[in-house]
This record gives sequence, C-alpha cells and structure tokens, in this order.
Amino acid sequence: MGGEQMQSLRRRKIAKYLKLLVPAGVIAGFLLVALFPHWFARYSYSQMHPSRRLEGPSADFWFGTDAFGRDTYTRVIVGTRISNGIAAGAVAVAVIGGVWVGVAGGLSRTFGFLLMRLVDVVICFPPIIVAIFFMAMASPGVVTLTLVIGFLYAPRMARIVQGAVLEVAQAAHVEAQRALGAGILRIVRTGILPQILAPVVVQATIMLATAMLLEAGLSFLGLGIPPPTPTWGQLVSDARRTLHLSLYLLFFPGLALSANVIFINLLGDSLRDFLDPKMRRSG
Amino acid sequence: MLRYTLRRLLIAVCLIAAVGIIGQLAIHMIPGDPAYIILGSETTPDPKVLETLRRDLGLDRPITVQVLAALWGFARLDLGTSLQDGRPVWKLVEASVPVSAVLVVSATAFAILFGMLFGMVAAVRHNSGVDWGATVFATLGLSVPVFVTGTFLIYLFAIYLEWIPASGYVALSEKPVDFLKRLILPTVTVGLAQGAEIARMTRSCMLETLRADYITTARSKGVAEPLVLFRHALRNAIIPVAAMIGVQFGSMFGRTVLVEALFGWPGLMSAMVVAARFHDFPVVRGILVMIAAIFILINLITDLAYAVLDPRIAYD
Repeated sequence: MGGEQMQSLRRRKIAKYLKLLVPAGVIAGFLLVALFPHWFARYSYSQMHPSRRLEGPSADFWFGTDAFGRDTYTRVIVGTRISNGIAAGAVAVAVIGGVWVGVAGGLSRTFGFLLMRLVDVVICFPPIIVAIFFMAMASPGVVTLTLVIGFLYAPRMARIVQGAVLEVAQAAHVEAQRALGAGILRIVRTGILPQILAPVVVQATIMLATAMLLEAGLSFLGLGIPPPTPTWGQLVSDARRTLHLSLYLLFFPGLALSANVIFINLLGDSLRDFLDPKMRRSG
Repeated sequence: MLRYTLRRLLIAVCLIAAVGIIGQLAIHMIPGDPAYIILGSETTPDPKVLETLRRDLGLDRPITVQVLAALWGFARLDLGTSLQDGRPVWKLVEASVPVSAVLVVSATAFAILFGMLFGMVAAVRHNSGVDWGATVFATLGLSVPVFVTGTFLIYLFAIYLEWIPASGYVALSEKPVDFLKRLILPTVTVGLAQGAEIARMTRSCMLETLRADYITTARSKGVAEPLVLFRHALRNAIIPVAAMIGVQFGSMFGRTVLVEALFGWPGLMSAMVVAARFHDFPVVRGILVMIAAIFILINLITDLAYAVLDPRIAYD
C-alpha cells in the first residue's frame, strides 16, 4: 500500500477510536456525577433562597434558581443520579431477565417459536403506555420504577439474545462441544454466552438511552419518582409553570437529559461498529 | 386471501382478549394491596372503607370470575366505571378518542411530508451542508425528548413571539381558526420527531436507489432530473419507508401521551395519565384495553394492506 493510503487508513482508525472514547468519556463523567453528587452539588436540593427566586445564572447559582429559590444546578446534579441509576438498574433487570429467556428460546425449537411470535407482538406496543398502567397500581418509588421499566424491556432483550443464540448454535465450536459430549449447561456457559456478549452489550447500551427517556417521560407526567426528589423529567415539567419568567429552568435540565441520551446513543453506535460490524446499518 | 383475513382477524381478537385478561390480572401481580394504594398511603384508611372498595372493584371474587366478568364486559363495550366520578369509562373513551385521532393523523401527515422531503433533499445533496444538517437533525430527533422540544416550542411561539396560544384544545366545530392555531404546535412537536426517523430512512433508501443502473440509464436518456427523482427513484425508495411508518405507530402513540399532557389536550392518552395519577384503576385498565385494541386493529389493517399489495404474503 502507498504512503497516502496508509495515512488515510490510520486517520480512519483514529477517528474510529475517538468515536468510541469521546462518548465513553462523557458518559463516565455523567456516571461520576451520578455516583458522587455531593462532590458537585453546591447546596441542598431542597434548600430555598426566597429572596433570589427565578434568577438567571450567576456566580452564586450557576444555572439560576427556580420559583422557590432553589439552586437549579444542584437539582440537575441530583437528578443525574436518579436518571442514570434507574436507567442502569432497569437495563440490568432487562438483561438478566432477557438473556435467560432468550437463551432458552434459542435452544428449544417449540419454546423458541412461541416466544418469537409472542415477543414480536409485545415489542411493537409503546412501553410508556404499559408503564403508565403499572404505575397506576403501584406506589411510586425507585425500586418499583426500575422493575417496571426493566420488565418492559426484557422482551426486547430476549428477542435479540434469541436471534444471536440461534446464530451461534450453528457454529462449528458448538458442534465440536456437542460431539465431545459436553453437557448443555457447559455449552451455554463456555460456547454460547461469550459469543452473544457483543450484541447484548450493544443492545444494553441502546436500551440505556430509551430507559432514561422513559423514566424522564414518566416523571414529566407525574408518575415517576415523586417530589421532593428532583428528577430531570420533573424539572422540565415544573419549568412549564414559570416558562414566561425563566427559560433557564427548561434549558438546563433539558440540556442535561438530551446530552446524556445523545452521548449514550453515540456510544452505542460506535460500540456496534467496534464489536459487531455485521450489524452496521446503512445511513 | 379470505382465509388469511379470517386467520388474522381471529388472532387479533385473541390478542385483544389477552390484553383484557392481563389487564385484570395485573392488579394482583403488583405487590401491595390495590385498595390501599388507591385510597392513598398517607393516612391509614378505615378497614371498612377498604373492604367496600375491594368489593366495588370486584377484587373479592375468585380470579377466574374476575377475568371472565371483565372479558364479558369488554365484549359488551362495558369498560368499567370510573372510581372518581362514577361515569362509565366508555363515555370517557368516546369523548377523547376523536381528539387523539386528530393529533395522530395530523402529526403523521406532517412527519411524512417533512421527513420525506428532507430525506430526499439530503440524499440528492449528498455530503453537503444539508446532508450533514439532516444527520444531526435525525440524531437530535431521536435523543431530545419530545416534551423538551415541545416546551421549547411553546416558549418560542407562544411566549416569545406570541403567535399562537400555548395550550388547550378547542373543537373544530366550535372555533375552526382557533382549532387550527392550537393544532400547529402539538403536530409539529410529534411530527418533527417522527419526521427525523423518516428523513433518515428516506435518505439512505434514496442514496441506494440513486446508485442503481436504471437511474443512470434514465439520466443518459436525457430524462429531466426532477422526473428521475420523483418518478423513478422515489417510487422504489417509498416501499421501505411505508413499512417503517407502519412500525412507527407504536412510538407515535408513546409520543402522543407526552404531547397531549404537555399541551393539555383532552385525548385518550392524557385521560389515562390523569386517571393513573389518581390510581383510578378501572379507567386505566379500560383505556389500556382500548388502546391495545386500536393498535392491534391498525396492525391488522396494515398487514392486510401489505397482503393486497404483495399477494405472496397471503400464502404464508
């Protein structure tokens, strides 16, 4: 290869790595804030400053204050923990539930067929409506919300896993293991699970973004984590009441939420390019 | 073809029944006493009141009876009675479905028009500023939540520019001009997000189609460029986009929930949200079954439409 071609190949490789590292770095930043909000918060999230209500950004209040004089920056910081925590928890539930069902579905023909039909129907239905249904009957809380969202996304994960298992089960090394007389659990553990890791990781990352949006949407509707705990969806909802007085109350939580989701999506896209180029979509 | 239709119809009915069953069973699946949750866990309600509520909801009967009673009710279009005001849920549904329908139809129309145009332009001016803008726009459309863009649009057009009222719904029959004014923002809010997905799909389909041999042939025959685009390229790019629109119905319903709540439209979805906030279980369950039925029917119609367009599907 000529020198120029080597250069452009190197450039493309660097770009590929950057596309992975930059979103990963930003997400790591969000996670840091989520895990240690007290390092970043400047006041208590419920602390009011009645003389300084509905102010814009200032040295004292970096994102301004809300209608009760509470520091928006602190509330956005605390909201990071809720949004990321619930999204991560829900995805964990979905992965744990979905992987086992998917593996079982991939390995058994009858169960797999039934599962495929059932899941295909369930998947198209908008999860937010089912979430509203469940939250109507439950008392709101972090655990309930995490379980409901996780339970809603488990079918999608099961579908992906089942497809991946079906592919892997045809592979030569699985056949070799069967020929050597390995038990089914061993085959699953050593032959199948490592191979499906890539699509599961990619799907989990994509799900992280949608789970976060779902939690924010539920909070916006008043069906998520109840006040006084600030969540981003709730902050946007509250901002509506004083929209004519302060756009900042919408801007900063909206920006935080959008940025978090955008970077998760970007991370998911570059993970997919990295781990499973066959899955790459056009455009 | 008839057999295919009947089979799909039967499946659809079974699915709706399944939703009804799950809807009734769900109240038992959630941990905690439903009557207690409905009456509020702030204060300890009187046990006698709890008992009356359980009886009203039919929770004291055996589960099979509950499920069968619910299904029999749905078949008769009896979706239950609201715990808040005692009105039949069906009346609420009747009043709110047209409102949601207006929003869904106008948002879909806007999304298709906007998305396809944008996608086409981006494909034609590949690798230009417009193309790059389209990619950014598509990513934003998927990432920025619909209630954030909606609130921002309210600020821009209702508060800052004062061109349109911020929220609320007015029936077409009462004040047509006001109705249209209040239709714009919700339509655009949902339509932009849907349109972003459509634009991305249109762009990639058009890019692929434009590379095909028959396009080069048409051009070398001297066919005018607009004709090449619209008659030849678009026709083939449209098929996957049409398929996508069918699939998008689910996410459209999801966005409609948030937008109806945001703009204060008394639609089916926001009725469900309001009922959910008050733990009005019969209303929430009834509306869920209704939404599921609508969703399943739409899927059925689109499936049958595909079978008409491509008869091979019927011989599944």
